[in-house]
Formats: sequence, C-alpha cells, structure tokens
Amino acid sequence: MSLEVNQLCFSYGSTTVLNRISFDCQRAEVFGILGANGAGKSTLLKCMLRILTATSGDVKLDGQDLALMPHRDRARAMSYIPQSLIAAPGLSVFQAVLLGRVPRFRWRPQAEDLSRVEETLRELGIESLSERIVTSLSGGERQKVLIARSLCRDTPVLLFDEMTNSLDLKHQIEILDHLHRKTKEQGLISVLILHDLNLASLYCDRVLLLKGGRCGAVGTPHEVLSEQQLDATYGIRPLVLSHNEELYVLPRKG
Amino acid sequence: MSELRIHAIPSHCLGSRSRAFPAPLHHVAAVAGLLTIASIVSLSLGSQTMALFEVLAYLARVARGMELDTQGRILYHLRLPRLLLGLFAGAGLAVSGTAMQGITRNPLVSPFTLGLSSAASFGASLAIVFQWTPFPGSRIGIVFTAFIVSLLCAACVFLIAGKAGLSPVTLILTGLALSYLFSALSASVQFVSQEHQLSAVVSWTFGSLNGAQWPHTAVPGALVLLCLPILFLIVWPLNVMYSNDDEVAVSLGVRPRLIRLISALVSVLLTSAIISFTGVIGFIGLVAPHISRMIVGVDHRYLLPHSALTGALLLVAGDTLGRTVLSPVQIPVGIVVSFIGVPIFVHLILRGRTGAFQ
Repeated sequence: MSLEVNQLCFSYGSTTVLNRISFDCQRAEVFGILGANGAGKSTLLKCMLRILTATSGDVKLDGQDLALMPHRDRARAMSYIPQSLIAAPGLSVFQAVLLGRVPRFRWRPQAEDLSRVEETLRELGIESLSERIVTSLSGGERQKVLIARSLCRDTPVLLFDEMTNSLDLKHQIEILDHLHRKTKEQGLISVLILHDLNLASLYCDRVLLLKGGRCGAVGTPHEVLSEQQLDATYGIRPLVLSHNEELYVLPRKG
Repeated sequence: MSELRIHAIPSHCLGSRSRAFPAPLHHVAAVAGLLTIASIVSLSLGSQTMALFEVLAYLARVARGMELDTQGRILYHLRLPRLLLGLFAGAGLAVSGTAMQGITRNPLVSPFTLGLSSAASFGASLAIVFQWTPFPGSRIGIVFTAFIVSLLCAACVFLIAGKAGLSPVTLILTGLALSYLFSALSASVQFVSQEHQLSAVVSWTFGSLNGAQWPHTAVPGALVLLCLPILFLIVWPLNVMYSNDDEVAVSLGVRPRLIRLISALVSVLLTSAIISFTGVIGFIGLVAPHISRMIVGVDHRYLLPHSALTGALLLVAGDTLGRTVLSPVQIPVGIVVSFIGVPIFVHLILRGRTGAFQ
C-alpha cells in the first residue's frame, strides 16, 4: 500500500498556500508534517482528504486517484482528526465514537460496529467514560474520544492534525505509542502534523518540512532536523543533539 | 422497507451501556400513547360534549362507512378534519424545527428562521387587503398567496446563502435579513389597510385551526407523509452534522451542503404549506425539538419521530384547551401552545436535562 501526493497546489484566491507539494508514504510508515504556523500543513491534509479541492496535482492511494473515488469509499480509506474540534453536544462518548463507523453501515450500526467501538475505547483506556456526555469531559479526554473515533474507523490511512494538542506529556506518549504500534502491526499509513519536534523525531519514520507552502525537505528526522534546516524553516536556531541514536531538539533563548 | 424501520440498538450489544442509549423507543411509544389519548379527548370536547366511548363508536361507524346522526356529522365534518390538521401541522412544524436545528447546530433556530413566517404573513396580508390572489375573498386564496410568497422567500434565501457556501451562518443571517424585510412589507400593507382588513390579518398571524375542513388537511398531510421518510433516509448524516463541523463531516463521507439543502428544502415545504393553512404557530417548531432532545437524546432516528409526536401533542392539546376553556370564545392555538409548552420546557430545564445544547 502506498499514498502518493503529486505536485499538489492550492490557493485561497490569489494567495498561494501550497506550491507543488510532492511526497509519498509507504505501508507501516509514520510520516510527520512539520512547519511553522501558516506554512500550509492543515491545508495540505484538507486537500489530501478533498475537504478542500486542490488547484492542481493529485493524491493517489495504491495508484487510485482519491478525487475520483466516491465520498463513502474515500471515507473508508482515510480518517481524520482536525486541528480544532467542536464539542458534540448531548452525545455520549460511545455515541460520538460510533459516528466514526458511519461510512461502514447504512441504516443501523451492526454488532461488529458496536464491538469495534468498545474495543477501541478499551485500547485507549477510556471505556469507563463511555456513558459520559462528551461536553462534560476535559480537553484531553475529548481529544482521546476523537482519536478513538478515528481509530475505530479501520481505515488504512490515518491523518491527524496536531492530535496531541490538548494532552499532557504522559497522554501524548501513550497516544503516540499506541498509534505507532498500530501503524507497524497493521501496516497502516499515519500522517501526523506535529509541532513538537522531539515527538516527531521519536515517532516519525520520515518527516516533511513545509516552508511557506513549499516542500523544504523530506527524509528521516536525522536527515531533516538539522540546525540549518530548522533555522530556514522556523527562523530560530535550536540546539540539535543526538543521544543513543535519538535526536533531541532543544530551544535556545533568542 | 424493513430497512427504514426505527431500530433500537440490540440489548446484547449494549452491555453496560444501557444508560448511553436510554431506551428511546419507550419514550416514543409513551408520547404516541399520550397523543392518542389527547386526540380522543379533543374529539369528544366541544359545544356538544360526547363521552369517550361515543367518540370511539362514531369513529368505528365512519371506518365502516355507516350513516351518521347530527352528532356524528359534527364529529366527522368539523372535529376530525380539525384534529387531523392539528396532528399534521404539529408534526410537520416540529420535524422542520428538528431538521433546521440539526443542520445549523443552533438551538435558537426554528422553521421560521429562514423568514417563512414573515413572508407568509406578507402573502396573507396581500390576499386579505388587496385581494392579490387567484381566488379573491376565499380562505384558499389566502392560503395560496401565503404559500407562494413564503416559497419565494425561501428561494431568495437559498440563492443568496448558496452563493456564500450555504453554511449555517449564511443560512441564518440571510433568513434573518429577509425576515425583517418581509415584516416591514407586511407592516406597510397593514398600514394602508382598513380596520376590518387589519383585524383579519392580525387574526391570521395568531395561528389557528378554526374552520378546518377535509380539503385543508390534504396538502399538509401529504407533505408530512412525503417529507418524513425523506428525513429518515438521512438520519445518520444528520447525526454526523449535528455533532461535527463540515470538514469532519466530509471526512466521514457526508456531503454537508447536499444534506443541508435537502433538510432545508423539506423544512421549507412543510412549514410553508402548514402555516399557509393555519397561520403562524411559532412556538412548536422551536421547542418541540428541544423537549424531545432532552428526553430521547440527539440520535435523529429517535429524535425525529419523537419530536413529530411531541409537536402534534402540543398542538392538539393546545387547540383543545383553546376552544374549550373560554367556550364559546376560541383562543387561537398559537397563543395556547406557548402557555402549555413553556412550563414543560422550563420543568425539563430545571430537572437538569440540558444535555442537548450545552
């Protein structure tokens, strides 16, 4: 299985947001998208999902153009967690997660859908919340609900836009460990937008650095996260250290 | 058709989550039972009060096509069409409100948010004051013009909001703007009207089931029976759209603009047709969905039938009270439903069942 993004361009009116972005992801790969605020990371994910229609270029899953896929098939191929979320008013956690299975049933959820939701809640350690109303949860718990909804969809491609935003460090590690394990075990493709460069270097097999809507660099964290590249992308020069083959990016005072 | 029936989640699949899905079908059945009782009581009360068993006996005679005496004819020609119009109008307005609140994710939205009530009032004013109708001087003339003008208003809303992406905000704001425009137009017509015409216009805007006859039930009834199944076909997209923004809805395989257009069109058709016959009955489309959401939750598979039945119950109960409490004076049902609905609504809020829109 492979996901290819070819020469993707997108503009809001006369403002070019994405300019000829190309990369590919392979089966069992965690792929990170990094870049400063406004670099076009979220727009790139939305174009991949066809939430926004790219000006030119295409996205192919196993050689099949996603633009030509019916809505429902596309929803069965890729799941998405957005950067910002609205609370699901009045919905219990179980019901909110069950909505992730909507592309898989027509009139009513089947026993398989319900057990899949149960299983995902258990895997993420939030089965005790299943009867709670989503609006009564903390920000971190809500984020986990959204992640559970995405995981229970059983799509081969997962797209996450700053998924660990509202989570503390322990929960960030838990979620990313879980996602990393699932990606490797089930041969999925996970594309993550991350702001934390240390997490990106820990969990991503490869990363893409976006700069002003252009592709800055693509490669392993060791290849891409150099002081020069980060300076060119973020306009700061952090300290990049390698320890036990792992890369650490430390901020320095301006 | 079996696929379209309302299904409860099988109990063996629920495990310990029975409270997550609080047996909504029981609530639907309960409100259906209350509505049946309210309907029979409504048929029995009036200038000539009948015992409940008499009502049932007359209904049985009607069903078998047997001859009716004077009391039976009162029941058949006056009370039965009035009851049916009330049932269809209540159900239609409530379902429209549920769909509109769902697709806009806004608790303050009602079927009238798109400006329909103001437009229909303007149409009725034109028909009453200037006789601008193909059937001057008749009730059907007022109905016709009110219906056409409210459809024109809806078409304007869709055209304008459609150009701006048909988002919830553009729909609501365009509807609000046109609502003010048609209110101003109505006021202008009323300003130049004579006293008896003004009285007729004002009386129309109160909303009432007075003078309902069998032909008046046909259009609202047909539309309710046609539109409810259409909404049932899109219950899952409605569930997704109610609890997610459009971007997430797209990622879940839903087409928000299409679903919004279908739901809004259904609401417009139902509401325009109903208020053209009954006048403006504003409260039901706003509150019946809230009451139902507090009782059965936010799953549209249960919410739609429950709010339809709740709307019908409010309207039938309101009409029965309105024509009996101060008999022979008949209080317009639009006024009475507010008196009934507000205490129920406040009671539910005080019981803490506010999960629907927090």
